[in-house]
Amino acid sequence: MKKKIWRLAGIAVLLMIAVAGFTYWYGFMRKEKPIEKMKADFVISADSLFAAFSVSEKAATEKYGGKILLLKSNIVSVEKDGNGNVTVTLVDPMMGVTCTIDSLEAVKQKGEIAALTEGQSVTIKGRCDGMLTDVKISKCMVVK
Amino acid sequence: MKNRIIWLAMGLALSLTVQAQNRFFTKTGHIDFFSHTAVEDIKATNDQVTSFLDTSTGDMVFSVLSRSFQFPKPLMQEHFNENYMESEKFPKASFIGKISDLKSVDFTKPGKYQVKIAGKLTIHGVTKDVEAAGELSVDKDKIDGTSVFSVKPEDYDIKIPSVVKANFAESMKVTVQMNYQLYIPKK
Repeated sequence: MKKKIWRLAGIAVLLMIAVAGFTYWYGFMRKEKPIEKMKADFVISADSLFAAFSVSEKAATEKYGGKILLLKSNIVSVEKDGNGNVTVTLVDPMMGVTCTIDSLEAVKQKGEIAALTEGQSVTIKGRCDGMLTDVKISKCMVVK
Repeated sequence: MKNRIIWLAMGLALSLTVQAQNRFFTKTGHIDFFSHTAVEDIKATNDQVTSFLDTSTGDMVFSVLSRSFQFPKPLMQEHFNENYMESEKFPKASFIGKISDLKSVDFTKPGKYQVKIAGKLTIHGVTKDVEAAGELSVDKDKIDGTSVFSVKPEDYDIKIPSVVKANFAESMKVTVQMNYQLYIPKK
């Protein structure tokens, strides 16, 4: 009987350690999944995405907000800011789709970004944040 | 929806002023906020701020998406969007105001100018009057703007559970850095 109690106590302690370990990892150590390992929720052209937001911003935000998109379009412009982030604009300079490749990803994709030119067709993966004057896509990477 | 109308109105105004040299905008402005407590430091950055500046009237508009704030830890970002900002319900924050001492700036002369900015700040669906000091660095065809001010989450009805209250400063330090370019409409 005593042996059984000790065994149960041991299992309870191990479970508590496992829960505490998971909580610590989940809260403090968990890293964001890299964009290249995220599966796209939608494959859509940048024109169609902007059109969807223009028709109904609310409906489009509900459908695409926070989702990973694989966007295909021609490049309007490519710009790098002082913090090393690269902005790839699609459809229109002001009322289009703005894709931000953050500085860390921009270093990893230096070659792919250097090859981007205005007018060229591009496929970009990123997370849709919503719409201001333009549809904002963050955590982007160049797929091809 | 109200914000969308404002942006469309601004866009229309810009498109109608092809000759104007007084309309500046950015889609890649930077805003970050910082909270320091004995428990932890929390910092989030947003490099996708859209803003317009009309140098003839001093009118300024900023708009940001809550989801575009980036945190060092995924859990912080999840809590920020789901629990505190309620990003699905209130996806945007905005500022609509103007440079209140516009005469102190000579936009034709490159240099640094200290300015006062006043207007209405809307966060989490709550609008408050705010005032802040700022600096404009004027150059040919571009203007950099910076400002640092404080925001209290409770002023904007952002509820922080008592169990994690010690992790958040009463006031968040907000830093704004805009890189305006002259707006040249497509012909």
